[in-house]
Amino acid sequence: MEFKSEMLKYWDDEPVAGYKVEEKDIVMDPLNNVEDALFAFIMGLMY
Amino acid sequence: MKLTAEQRTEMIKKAIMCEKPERVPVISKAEPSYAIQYAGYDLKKALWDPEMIVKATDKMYTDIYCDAGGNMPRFPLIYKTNGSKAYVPRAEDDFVQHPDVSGLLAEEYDEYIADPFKCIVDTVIPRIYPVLAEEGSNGSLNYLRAMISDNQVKSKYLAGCAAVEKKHGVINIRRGAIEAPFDFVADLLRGFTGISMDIRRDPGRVLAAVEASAPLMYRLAKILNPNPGTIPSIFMPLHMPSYMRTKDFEKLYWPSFKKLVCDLVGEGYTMQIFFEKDWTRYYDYLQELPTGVIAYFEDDDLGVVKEKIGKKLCIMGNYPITMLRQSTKQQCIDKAKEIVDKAAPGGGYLFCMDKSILDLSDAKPENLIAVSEFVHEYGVYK
Repeated sequence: MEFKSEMLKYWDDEPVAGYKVEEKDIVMDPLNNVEDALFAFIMGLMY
Repeated sequence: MKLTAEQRTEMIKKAIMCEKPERVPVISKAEPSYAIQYAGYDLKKALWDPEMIVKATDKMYTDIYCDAGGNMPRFPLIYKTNGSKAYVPRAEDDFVQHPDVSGLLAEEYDEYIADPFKCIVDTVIPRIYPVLAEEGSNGSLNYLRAMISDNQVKSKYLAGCAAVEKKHGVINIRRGAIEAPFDFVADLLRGFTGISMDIRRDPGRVLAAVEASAPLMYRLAKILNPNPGTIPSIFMPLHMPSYMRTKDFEKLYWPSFKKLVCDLVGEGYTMQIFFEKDWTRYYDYLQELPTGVIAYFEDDDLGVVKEKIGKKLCIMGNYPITMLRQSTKQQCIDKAKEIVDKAAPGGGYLFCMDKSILDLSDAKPENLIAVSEFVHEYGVYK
């Protein structure tokens, strides 16, 4: 099940703004973990 | 005989996979509010102090036998901080209540379907949590307050509970909770009244909104419970089906729910699904669910459930807590024996109440103690 929202800035195929492809191994997981926590917190308000 | 955590883990895993363990595991559904009152603490004070709830849980696990538990109370600090209109601490003791709300208007379905998360942030949150949407820095600071309170209170509670569970060898079988996609649309988005009208007036948009919600629930499950495994399970209470017509359930509720459950179980998760009220009409559907589901029933007779779905799904629930409130100790034990005799043969069964025990007046402690100890001693597989 694919999940997308323009509100969340996940690094998927393309780097997020401000980062380069070659930084992927360093920054992708930490950045995506922030988006996950933000998503989970807001969803937690909804049930 | 008290079991070790390892023994309990092993027998619970076997039961979940519909195998026969050494004993029938006893699952506690006594909520923190019950533990607080049982320990003699003031409910309001304790709801604001997770360490006091942990102490109460320690006493409860000392006195009342169980092999496993797991819960997440609604803390008033969180809802006072985020100003929720959907979850409101009641005046006398700050126990959190849930009035029917509608965060999404009927004419906003298309906005939701296009980007559900964006619609939640832009449209629904401001309606249900107006303090989070105040203009300027106030709104930002209130969001931060809400997130900080959530983190602080839950992290204290979970750390304390983990220590108490370790002390008593009690297994936490729950980590994270999600909703069926239809219930997610029904509960805080449209509300019971709103969704009941929408099903008749605009079923196409309801279905599209439900389908758009499924990926959110899937993503949320994987974030809340990042390591798939037999335990801890992901909890999923089902709200609307007993109020729906079967033909609406088949079209609007079942497909996305089944796919969500099958996808998560397929990835190695266990789903602990609470089938609220009576599911007699839906047993044929439930046969399509995979092994890896704990099917937790409220009103359904477990003898019938065992026959219909017991080969594939681990079943639990249906012990009426009203008996613990109203009946004698012997009557309570007789009822436990009746249910265990119907549900336990062959394995794939966890003993559990029909619903959460919230208040001390819901269950006399002496009856709960007697029933829990009886099932532990009686529920031995030969």
